[in-house]
Amino acid sequence: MNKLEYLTRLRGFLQRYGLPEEDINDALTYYEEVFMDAGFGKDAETAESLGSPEELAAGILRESGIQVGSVNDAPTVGFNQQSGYTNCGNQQYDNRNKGNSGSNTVLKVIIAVLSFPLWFPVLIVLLSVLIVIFCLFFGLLIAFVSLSVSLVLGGFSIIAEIPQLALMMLGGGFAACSVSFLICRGLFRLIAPAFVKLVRKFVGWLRGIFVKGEKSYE
Amino acid sequence: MSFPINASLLDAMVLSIVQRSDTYGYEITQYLRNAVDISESTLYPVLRRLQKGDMLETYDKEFMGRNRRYYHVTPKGYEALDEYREEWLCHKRKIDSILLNEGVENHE
Repeated sequence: MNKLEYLTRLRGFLQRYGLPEEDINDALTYYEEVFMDAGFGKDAETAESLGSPEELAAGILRESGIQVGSVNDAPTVGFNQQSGYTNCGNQQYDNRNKGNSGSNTVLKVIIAVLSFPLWFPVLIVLLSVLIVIFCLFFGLLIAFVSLSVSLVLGGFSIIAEIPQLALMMLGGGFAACSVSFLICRGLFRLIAPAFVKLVRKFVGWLRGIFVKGEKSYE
Repeated sequence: MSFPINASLLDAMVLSIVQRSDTYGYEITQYLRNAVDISESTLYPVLRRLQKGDMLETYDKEFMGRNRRYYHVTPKGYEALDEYREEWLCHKRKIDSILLNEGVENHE
């Protein structure tokens, strides 16, 4: 089997099982590269070492959470995931449970839609609580900032009449100003990246839902 | 006979290879083959998984009139690799203690 033939069959199989076009192209690019890196005139050899296009496709589909029944189920390398592990604590980066997300999405969407009357009020309440907390915090911050500014301004305005009090106010005001500056800067540094991350995640999530949704309702 | 290599171990080894220097799929497979018996088709799902987990990122570089996809370890990938290395040392010690009777004297 030559390169073109192999890749065409691979594409056909991936399409039949509804892998997203983007993922298909990625896989095809990768394997086209493998053929080319193996060297000219080695197509047949490479094709053989890759196994049949159907098996290869099954492996890719399995990794994307699409179960393929008919093609033999033997994993390529010992991916035997049920084997015991020594207990070394933290398994944060374990990908073992990342399997069948694709097939569950439709179900999740249906459940989410059906339980709409239930979660919508809860969502609104949660959102308002969040907003209230945010406003409260923000209000306190503004009050503190204005206090420090007014202390400084007030200190200047009465410096001629009551110098002692003015000095005290100025001192306190400057101290408060610096503290509020530190708080604002800290908050900004904390919030700005988190906010950007959140927005990006949200957009990605939204797109994920729509792309998957389209596919499953076609 | 040989011991099966599981998915986590492959992830860890691929991260380690790419960490040494950015490289491309075919070369990673060849490199892995120095240590484990894997087929050409094993690596792609691993790379894909690592990419989706934000541990690897890719960029294309021209090579003889075509594009070659290079892989690069992200900061998250570095973190994961450190974690994996620690886990591996711990795992290795425990296995060795039984398989090679290492550390037996301490128990007797």
